[in-house]
Amino acid sequence: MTVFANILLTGLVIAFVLYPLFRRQPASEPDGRLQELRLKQATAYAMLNEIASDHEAGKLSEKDCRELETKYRQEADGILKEIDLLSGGDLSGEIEKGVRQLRRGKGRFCSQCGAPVKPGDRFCPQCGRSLAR
Amino acid sequence: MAQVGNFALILALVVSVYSAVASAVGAQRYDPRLLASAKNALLAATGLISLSVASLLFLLLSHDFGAVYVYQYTSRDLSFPYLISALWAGNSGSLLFWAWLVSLFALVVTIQKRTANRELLPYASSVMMITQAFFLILLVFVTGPFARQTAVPPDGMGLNPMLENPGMILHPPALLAGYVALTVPFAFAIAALLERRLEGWLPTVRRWALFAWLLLGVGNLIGAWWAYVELGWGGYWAWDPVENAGLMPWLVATAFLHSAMMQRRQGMLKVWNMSLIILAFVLAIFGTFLTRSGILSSVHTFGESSMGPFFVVFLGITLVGSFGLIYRRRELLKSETEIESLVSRESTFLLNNWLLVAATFAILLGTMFPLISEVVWRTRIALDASFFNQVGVPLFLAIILLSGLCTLIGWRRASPGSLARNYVLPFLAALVVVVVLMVAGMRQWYAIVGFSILSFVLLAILYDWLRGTRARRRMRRENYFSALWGLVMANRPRYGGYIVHLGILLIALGVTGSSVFATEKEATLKPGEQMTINRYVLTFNGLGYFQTPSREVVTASLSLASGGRPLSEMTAEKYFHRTYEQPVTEVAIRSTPLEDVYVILAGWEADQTTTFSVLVNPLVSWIWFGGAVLVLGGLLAFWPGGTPRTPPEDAEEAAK
Repeated sequence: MTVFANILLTGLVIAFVLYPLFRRQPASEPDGRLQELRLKQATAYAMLNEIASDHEAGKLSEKDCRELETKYRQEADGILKEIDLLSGGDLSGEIEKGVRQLRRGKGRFCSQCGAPVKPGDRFCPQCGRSLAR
Repeated sequence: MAQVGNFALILALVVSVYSAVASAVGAQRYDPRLLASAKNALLAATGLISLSVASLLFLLLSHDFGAVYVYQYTSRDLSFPYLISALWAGNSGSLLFWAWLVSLFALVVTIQKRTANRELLPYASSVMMITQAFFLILLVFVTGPFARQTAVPPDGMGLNPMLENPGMILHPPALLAGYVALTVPFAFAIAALLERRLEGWLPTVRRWALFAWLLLGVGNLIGAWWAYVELGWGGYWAWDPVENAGLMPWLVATAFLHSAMMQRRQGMLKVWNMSLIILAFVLAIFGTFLTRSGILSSVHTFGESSMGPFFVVFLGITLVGSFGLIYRRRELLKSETEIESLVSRESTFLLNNWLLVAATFAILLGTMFPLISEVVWRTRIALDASFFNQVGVPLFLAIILLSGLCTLIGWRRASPGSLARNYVLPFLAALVVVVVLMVAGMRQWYAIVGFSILSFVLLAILYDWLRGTRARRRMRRENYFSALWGLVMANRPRYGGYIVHLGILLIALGVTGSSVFATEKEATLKPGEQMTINRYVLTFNGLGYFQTPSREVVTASLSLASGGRPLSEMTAEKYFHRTYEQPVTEVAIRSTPLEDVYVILAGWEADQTTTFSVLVNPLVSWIWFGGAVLVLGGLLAFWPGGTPRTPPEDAEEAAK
């Protein structure tokens, strides 16, 4: 009885383990680099959030806050560009979002140099002028 | 049933080895079919080990005393929960439990919906399968749980009576699961080294490391609670080798959770993080080894065994292999940035990391000292608790102080002006505490330093919350409560961490109070006589005696009063188990937030003259309460989501 059970168990396990070897090639998995970039993007955004709250809570001076923010904003933008490249240069989503925001009156331009600024920007990414009104 | 269980183990070993090899080869050759087969082998191994666990449970529950394991650890009168707990009460059972947990965690890792780091999975599962195969080798070739004896005794020897405590149902599985869960981050670290993908692996393992850390913390705390209520010597921590074995990986995991934040944010400390996670895993295996090999005598030693050499070889291969791999990848592991300023959150994190690792090595040295001294001086010298206290207490106080300092420092750099502004309030609070304690007549400077550090850190955390809440209230026009709630919920890992810090503060409060101010008194009383300790009066009412099928119990009842007011009735017990010679003490504890009255029945004469050992332990309940807070904070940080994933809006946008 036990011997029979053991033989049955062995047979089942062997069949289960070796079955994939005789199947057709499974579909390829999605690109891991893209996912890694998304993670890095999330980290950069988290850092930006933290800098804003640290500044708000008085742990970072205005100057440091500005410097760090520019740095991480650039990093996030770089990552975003790379993501767009990887995902086939499909920028239409971002652009549409920008247009929608402009229509709603949220999009702005720098009063000093005229460069477009994003709704989250505290300082102009081009010339660094403070955008706080 | 036993044959099936044993056969399933052998088959599981074969399948695990196959899975380990097929995963690694499949990953190297990019062969999806081989990888799919390796994955099926992993699933099959989980099924087979589960089958083995099920058959051992069946043997335990059906009282099959023909099985040696069932005979050694259970008896007919054992209740259902303890029959289940017998699964991990013995040597081979606990190793089976280890292997089962590895297989379950590997299963979860494999079937988890993974968006990132899919390429790491084959190598990671290969590492997990190797670990699993190691434990299966022990189970198949060294100490099998399914061994049988020819004569079937009518009843078993029963569970060690000290293990018959609710804490013992939870403590071993929590601690073991914590050890085992460290396998997952370790496996991903090795996979990242092998695959040369050293950037993105950390977020994948953060929650596993946190999970392991939480389980180890819970396991240690329940173990301390068990020692306090069950071992009957008045304390909760004795720096016993196996207690240390549970603490060390927890300390290293604590360091890892903090330094991992720095790698994620700044790309620093890559080698350090790798080393920490390898160290944590090695210490987890080492902890299992200490518990199970009996090389150091401990309250946890449940019999000698011949597993030592196997563990030494496995530990050696792990250490040499992992650090060799780090060395080969050293070019890829260079830091992206340097620490900018000495006064920044980074530098406090780094310092805290060093202190945590230093504390771990001090404890490791103390734990291993009997073995080291045997090799060097040919005599076995065991270090007592005073060594650990002298080395550990200053380190732990410094670690706690730093956790307060870093709360109020921003990342990267801090300006002297903001520092002074931030620290002034907590510093004043600490000063006030010192003055109040001195005026109140306290002269134990260790306690004064301890309490002032605790109040500094407490104020630092509360002050940070207050300012965060205020800032949010200004920005969003919320009331204080919803602003605080929103603040915590918007960044759960961060505020979960702060709640854990609060829990640690409460535990430290309890430890300081109970270790500096405990009073102990012995008294021999006749029925009707009284003794006093501090402000308490204990009246001995008399001895009692009763019997259960497995034990003979002697009880001593006492009435506790203070200032003429009766407080409670207490019953301290000692019992003799049918099959264990050592008498077991059941202490009587009356616990209040301020202090515990702890009564041990030490001995008695025929004429009912009875000796008691009575302790008053201040603030002990805060340790357990702090433990609960720690778990709460850990869970908050562990819960999915909670990290902001969208770019921050500026203040005006948010206010609109």
